[in-house]
Amino acid sequence: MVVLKEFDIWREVVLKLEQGATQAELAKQLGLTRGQFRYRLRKFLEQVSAEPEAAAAVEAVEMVPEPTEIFHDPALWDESWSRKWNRNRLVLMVKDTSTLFAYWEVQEQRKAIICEHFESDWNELPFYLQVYDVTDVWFDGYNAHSVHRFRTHPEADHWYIHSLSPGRKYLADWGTTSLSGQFFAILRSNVVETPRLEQVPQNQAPICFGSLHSAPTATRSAFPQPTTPFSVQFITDKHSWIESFDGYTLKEKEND
Amino acid sequence: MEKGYLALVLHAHLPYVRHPESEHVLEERWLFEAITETYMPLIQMMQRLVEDGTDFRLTMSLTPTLLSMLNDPLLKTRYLNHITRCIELAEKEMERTAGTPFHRLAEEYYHKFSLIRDAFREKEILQSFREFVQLGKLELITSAATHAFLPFVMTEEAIYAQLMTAIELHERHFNQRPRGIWLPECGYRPGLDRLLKKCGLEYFFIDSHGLKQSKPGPVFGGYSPVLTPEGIAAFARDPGSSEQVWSSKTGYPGDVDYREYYRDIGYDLDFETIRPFIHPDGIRIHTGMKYYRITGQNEHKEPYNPDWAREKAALHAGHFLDERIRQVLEQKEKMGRSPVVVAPFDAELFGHWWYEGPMWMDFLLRKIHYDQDVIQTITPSEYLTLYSDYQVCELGFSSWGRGGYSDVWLRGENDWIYPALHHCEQQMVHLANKIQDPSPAEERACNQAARELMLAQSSDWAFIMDNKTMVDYAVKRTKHHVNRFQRLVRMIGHGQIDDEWLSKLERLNPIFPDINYRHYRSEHAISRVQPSDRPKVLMLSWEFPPLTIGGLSRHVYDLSRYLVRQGWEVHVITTETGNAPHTEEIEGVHVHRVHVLKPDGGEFIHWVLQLNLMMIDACHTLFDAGHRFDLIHAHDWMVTYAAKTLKHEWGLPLVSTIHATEHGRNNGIHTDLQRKISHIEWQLTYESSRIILCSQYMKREVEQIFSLPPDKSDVIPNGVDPDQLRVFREGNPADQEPYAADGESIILFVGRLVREKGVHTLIDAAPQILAEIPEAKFVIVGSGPLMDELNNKVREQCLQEKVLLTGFIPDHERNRLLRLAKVAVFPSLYEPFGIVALEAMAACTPVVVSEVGGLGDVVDHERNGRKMWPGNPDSLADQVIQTLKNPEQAQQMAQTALSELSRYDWNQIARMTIETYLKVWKPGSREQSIVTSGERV
Repeated sequence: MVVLKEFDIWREVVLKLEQGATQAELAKQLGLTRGQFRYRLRKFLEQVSAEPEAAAAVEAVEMVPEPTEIFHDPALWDESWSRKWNRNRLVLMVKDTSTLFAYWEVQEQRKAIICEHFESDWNELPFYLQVYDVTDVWFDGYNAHSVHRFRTHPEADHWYIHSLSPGRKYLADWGTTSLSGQFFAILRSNVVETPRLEQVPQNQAPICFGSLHSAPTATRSAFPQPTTPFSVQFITDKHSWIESFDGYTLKEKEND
Repeated sequence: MEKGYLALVLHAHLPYVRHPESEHVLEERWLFEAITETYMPLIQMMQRLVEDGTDFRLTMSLTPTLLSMLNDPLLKTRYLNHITRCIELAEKEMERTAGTPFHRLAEEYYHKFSLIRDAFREKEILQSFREFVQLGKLELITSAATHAFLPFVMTEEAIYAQLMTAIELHERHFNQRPRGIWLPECGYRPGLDRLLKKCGLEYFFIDSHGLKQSKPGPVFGGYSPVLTPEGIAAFARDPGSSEQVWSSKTGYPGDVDYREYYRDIGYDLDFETIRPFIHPDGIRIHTGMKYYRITGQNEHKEPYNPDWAREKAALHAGHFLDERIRQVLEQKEKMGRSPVVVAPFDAELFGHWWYEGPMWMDFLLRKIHYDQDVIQTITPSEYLTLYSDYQVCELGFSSWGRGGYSDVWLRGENDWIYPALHHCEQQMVHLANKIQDPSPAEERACNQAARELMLAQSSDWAFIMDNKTMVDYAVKRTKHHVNRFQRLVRMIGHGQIDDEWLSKLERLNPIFPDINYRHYRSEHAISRVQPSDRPKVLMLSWEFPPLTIGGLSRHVYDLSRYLVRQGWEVHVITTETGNAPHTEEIEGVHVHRVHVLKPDGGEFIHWVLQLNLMMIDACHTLFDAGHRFDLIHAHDWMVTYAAKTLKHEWGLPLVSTIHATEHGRNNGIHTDLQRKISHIEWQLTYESSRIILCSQYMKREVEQIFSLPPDKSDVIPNGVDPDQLRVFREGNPADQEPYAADGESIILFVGRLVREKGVHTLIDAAPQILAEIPEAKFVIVGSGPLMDELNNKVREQCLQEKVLLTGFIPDHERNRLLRLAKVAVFPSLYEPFGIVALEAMAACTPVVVSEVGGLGDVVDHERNGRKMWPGNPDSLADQVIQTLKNPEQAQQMAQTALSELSRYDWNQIARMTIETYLKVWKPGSREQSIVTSGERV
């Protein structure tokens, strides 16, 4: 009889383990230490080894690696969030055929230099996001097909640019203007391409076949070279001040 | 023989959800429900087909996150607990529904759950998949490691890491590399193919519009894969097959006889009955037991009838097949090849959302096998062996998300995650490049950082935020992973890895046990600087050869290379020019030329700001590469912002050379611009620990203008390169053509044609000189803004025959003239130093110079040359006439001047400069800069 009762108790224990109870809980209920509990559980399972289901459940429970408490460390569950990462960047992302997303950040250090130079508080300076269509252009800062300009708040850090054209390459600057109204770029973005909307007519590009992992060279050369956003032209090309430059400072116009 | 093919592709994916910290995280049920309703039924379906000898081909992408969860001991245990609870619930339901129409359904659920539990225990899910692969029925492919939406991963390194981690995990589980990949959300962007190729992948899938807009258009429509320019095959989704299976409205799953997903007893039963089987907090959940069929559009639902549903599934399978046959027959004709219809679906649609899905597929595969011979199922790999070539097309950006691009993952609800994610990936790349030789703890921390980053990148979080259910969970997950990543980066940066915390995190997220953070390394190794014992100076100069506008360029060039000869390491930061490389080493000097961003405000003063911003960036790059400097040496006001900023950032001593002042150049300050420049000059002197000036004259000027304490500056004359001077003494003097005729005496001026150089004084003196010395010929070498004005002056005085303005001429011609000249005249109004006078001396040519600035220091009247009053034509004429009339005396003075030139030897100047450096170079300042700047990652 005693044996039978013992058997029922352990059978129930196994069932409870299957249902997700922990060994620690059950050991406590039975007034056993965990070591005793495990020993007697193993003995029981040896007796009933003909019953694989129970054995599997216990084996599975034994695999539970940790008590949950060790994970109760606040440093694992930090939910703070930062929008500022102390870096200078302007990033463009493509949302759809006519919409881009821009986000940006200016380092405090750069802000300070700009404020000093323009002799103005950051929040008093005018700021703009300029989006250039640079499709097939070696962009030098001035030769975009088109420029969209948006005034932004000094503390703004992202912007959706709508109503752009599909199948075009875009680049953006975020910057301010000089007293005379000329744009001064503070940040420059990557180049992105809006997806094409229309099908490309068959006659616009040569039809060409290749085999797997080795596309033909003809096609490769037809692939447009990525537009480099950065000009390597030297300053003499674009600056009116260079003619009046005497080496260290500017010779100002007579009427100045 | 079959005329075409059907490629059925099931994309099986769940985000990594594993919460050892709690037993009751609802999101873990995503996995449990998918196992019960999708993965096990699909396995059972394939098992039946194999047992019955029905041939079929199926392609499945098992994402690395799902693979990891299916193989996770904790989750397997929890799943067993979960399915056991389901069985219990079904048992209770059998009792509760006795005598009702639902009893049979409850019974079916009971059997279904029990069978699944047995099968789950009997054989690992992954083992079942392995066996179907071995039988050749199933092709398994991979996906990005954590299902990142690759078009929004910023760096190629991070994309590569996502791909390689996935491939390696796949290989570990299935003993073979995947040949294809399911790009998460079918997100493709140009250039991705290069990385796929690098990882050895052969094909991927895109949505149909992505192919339609390819360039050129696809000649076979969507019925053949195309190759990207890198030679990777892209299979396009067939829109027709998708619509019929996907759409809950017009597609099969919306049929009235199919099971209604939203009527679950977890919601329908009274609270007390269901309470033990829902969340302990009393949150009602889907139990998986659903008793109703869709019935119709409105709320009223009829009981589910399994027989009817089964009939419908068979009917729909037939319909689907007929449509495909129609397509294939039509296309076969057009193409002259066997078309392939690609039908990809989310695996979880089958069974979980569309309960009868696995049954439908069972019917479909049987019908294909037994009932017709037009179509055969095929895997993409098999199809790619059918033909030796495919059309090559450029593919643009596309995805299979709403709208076809990235509307789902980029909107107000989720756009805030990208600044952080992009920053983290760049940090990770930096870390991987930097940590070359990790300690065991660093290795673990870097690998865990890679795990946390990848987990944060899962497209699922942005998707859930867009979907607006369980948003909190997605937000928290993003924050947790990013913050854990940041903490790891800080620990690694500070060299203080909290081992206990790290091992907790490793146990919390033990995904990808073999992850290798080195996959984040850049393709082109970024060279890390080895620390050296040589003292190291950062030289800031706005010009450097070949860019030469004033004398500064040459000066910095010579000073730098002579400092190198004296054992210093010199890095010059300067402006880019022409085709000169952005980085090069010239005679041991490291030159870094920066690109100056435009638009730059259109004025020189703003261009200078832009130059400084770029210089600071360039210096940060040097710092990141491991360069540590002992001091900064700035030249003139143009580099003030950069010098000041870096001095403070790195805590380094600053030495400046003031070559000239705005005040001196303009003989006072007259405009706002001059005032601004003068202020910037003052600032440079104020920020500098020591100032170097080229003459006593300049020292007086700078001390006076900027109220500089006398003991803050050192006078070091400008140097002259002995090699350069030697040129003037070698070889024979050639004839005077084309500058002067035989018998004429050349009176030479060399310099920029600007007011301060005083050329006009020379022209004004010409008539007087000619009166005494008719054979005199004035040769004026140089260009500048006064060129036109001077030409006019010459014409007005009818001196065209006697005065020649050469404009710019090459160095060797200039040197020849210096030797030919009978006298060289430097009538400057303002001249901080006047190096060209030394060159004339080196050529052993007598000189006449203004008693001004540095020139006054160089010439001792009537000992080594003659002096004149600045701006005074009479005085100039007088001295020139004296020189020409007394050639022997003049030659003697020239000899004296030549013999004293060693004072200006660059070796000597460099030594004096180093003495100045040593006055401010604090021992240990280099270390200081490391501490104050922290790790820039």
